[in-house]
Amino acid sequence: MSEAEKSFKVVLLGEGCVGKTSIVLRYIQNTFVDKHVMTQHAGFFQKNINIAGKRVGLTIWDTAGQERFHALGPIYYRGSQGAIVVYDITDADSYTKAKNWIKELKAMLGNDIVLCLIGNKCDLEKSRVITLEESEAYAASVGAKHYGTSAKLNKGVEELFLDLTKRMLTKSTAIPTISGSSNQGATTSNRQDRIPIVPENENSQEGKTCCK
Amino acid sequence: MDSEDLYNNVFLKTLKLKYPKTFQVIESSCYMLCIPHSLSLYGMNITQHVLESHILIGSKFYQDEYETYNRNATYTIENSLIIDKADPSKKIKILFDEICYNKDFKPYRFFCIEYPLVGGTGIKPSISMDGEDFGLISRPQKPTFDHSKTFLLSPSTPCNRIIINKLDDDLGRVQNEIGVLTRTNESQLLEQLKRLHEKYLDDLVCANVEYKELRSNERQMNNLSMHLESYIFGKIGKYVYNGLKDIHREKNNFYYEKMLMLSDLSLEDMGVNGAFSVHMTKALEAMFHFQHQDLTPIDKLLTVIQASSEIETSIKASSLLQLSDQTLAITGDEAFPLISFLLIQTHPRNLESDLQYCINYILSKISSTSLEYNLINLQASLEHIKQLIEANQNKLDQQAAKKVQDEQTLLEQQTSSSSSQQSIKKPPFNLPTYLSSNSLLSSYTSNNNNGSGNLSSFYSPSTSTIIPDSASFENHSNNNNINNNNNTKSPLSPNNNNNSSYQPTINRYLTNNNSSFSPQPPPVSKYNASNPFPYQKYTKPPSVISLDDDEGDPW
Repeated sequence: MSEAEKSFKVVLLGEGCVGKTSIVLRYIQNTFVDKHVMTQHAGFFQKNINIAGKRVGLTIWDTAGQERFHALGPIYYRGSQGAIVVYDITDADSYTKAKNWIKELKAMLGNDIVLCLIGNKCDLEKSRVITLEESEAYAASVGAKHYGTSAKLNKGVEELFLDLTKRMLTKSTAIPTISGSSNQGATTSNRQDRIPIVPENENSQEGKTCCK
Repeated sequence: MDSEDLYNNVFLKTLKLKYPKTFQVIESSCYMLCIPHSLSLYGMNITQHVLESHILIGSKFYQDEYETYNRNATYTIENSLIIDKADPSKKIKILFDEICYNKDFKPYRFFCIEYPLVGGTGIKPSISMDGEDFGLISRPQKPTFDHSKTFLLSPSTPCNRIIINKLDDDLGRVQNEIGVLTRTNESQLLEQLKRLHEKYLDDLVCANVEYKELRSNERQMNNLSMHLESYIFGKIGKYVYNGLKDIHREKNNFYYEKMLMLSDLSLEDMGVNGAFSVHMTKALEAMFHFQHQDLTPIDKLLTVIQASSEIETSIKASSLLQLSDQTLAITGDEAFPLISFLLIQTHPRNLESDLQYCINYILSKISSTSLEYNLINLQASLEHIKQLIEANQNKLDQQAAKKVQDEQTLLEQQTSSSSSQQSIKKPPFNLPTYLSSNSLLSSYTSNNNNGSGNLSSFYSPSTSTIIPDSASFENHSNNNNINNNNNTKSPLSPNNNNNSSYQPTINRYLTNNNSSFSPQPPPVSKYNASNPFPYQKYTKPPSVISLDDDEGDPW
């Protein structure tokens, strides 16, 4: 890898069946199938892109969308420089869950992470229940950027990743590290890795938590 | 990740450095650039004519038709093949593509192609091309001690022998200094190992001109790092692992017992599509190797990956044979629940130690690689198992209570029978389902019939009654304490033939020269109700983000 290369970890979050895997497969393999046939270990993807002469390596982590695994989210999103939070435009519940993810990411990572809110399944416009205005307004209010995508029709996917990468690049060069030098890529040794994944109350024998 | 790194490709480098204006034209006009794979460039003279013949401009009239920049040829692109329009038999495969954006963020593409469109010599390089990486330092396919030793001490690198001998001495010294590994001195050991790894990596690079030339190639250097790491853990892995077993004994016992009790959970119970069940057999077999103590940390992680890939292979095989209408795939939704399932079914005797071994003792850089993802999945699996333990606490409590009751009954029987000088017959294995670890265990142990396995320690307390096998304890005269399980042998950690040629002096190992380990039933009274210790739980993280200084990467 060249010295100029930067690498970013991007995590995909969202309710199950909203199309997280479809979006990443469309981007990586330029394919869409209703039932995925994997050619590589699903869940972890790598893509190199070159922006204005800068080499950027994206590692994209797909996560489990089921609510029962929500508490395990921090294991996956720690150390991420970008998050793509996906909802299904035809499913209001998935939009609520997406907002919860964004709230959690903001609380945990603050402004260190670049957020994208994605309304997927734009090909099902007739069944839309979340208006574009509403989701865009919400995204703007939390410093995220909203995109409408259709993995099926390959709509908006490449633009989404390009914009995310540009924003991550901007942030990585803008934020000085503690030592004062610029953030050399986003290796796992940056500050997000310091998020202590520990119980809030170490003394809790029952392991009860406050998170839902 | 594709093995070819385009930014190290000589063809692209030549274009950028020798013909920057041509490269600027590609960028500004968003032309397509075909870059022959490094392996196909051997002996090739990269002239301007050759370079221009690899720049493709899309036709204004026909989709998928392209003309070269120097207008010498026209190609079409179909199904990842570049086909010469003048000679359709000339087909060159596109290996992968990379998207690029110019200063105005307009996209253009690099295509990595199998052979040059023109100018190729067809000569293959003489350097071995085993493995997926091309270069002097191949990635260790299986990061074992033997493999790394063969590589590091190969006749082509004679200087390495001196360095490795010094490393052996240093590793012995570290073991002597640390002595018995405890929670207190574990960080000291880790620091020393990191330091040694770093130092000897530098030494190897300095001693070999060929390695020096590859210093700027991170991938090659990481391969060397993995070889060195495998060597180090081939030497002292057992010492480290045995120490970790002692340090985390309580948690190991806790998870072991709970996993045994959870082993009747179905895939659906764990949040995974039940259709995966028919694809688990080979994966379970692979997963049994996870708990072997002769493995390096990376190798341990690779067994988990291997288990996942066995599921994928099985799915592919059955879809090829059209045995199933349903197309299954391991997506992000299933990745770690499947590992949880495999762990529960194989119930590694030292799960916490295994995890800590993988988390802390991988010295090479694995960030931004699939290894890191799989390590995180392994961590998530343990958290998932903790959740399952909590969710099934009532059931587990009932089982524990029943176990205590059964034990008391059996102990009474044992007392009466021993008084009458009768031997106690061990209860038979209770095999709940074909997916149960027990069925695989029996096949595993029969395949690894070393005659040393203490099978009595492996039946499930949830499904059969436990009698601490007094005979097995007698075999280990120095180990009368049921908790002191360091000197016994596990059928799932079989034989432990040390493939290390390293023969440390006796005082190096002190009391830690235990070659194996046996899962003894943990003291029931200690675990019969709820969790005996507050385990870490991955929940909503605290709201404080530490801004402490970054730890330096060992690499």
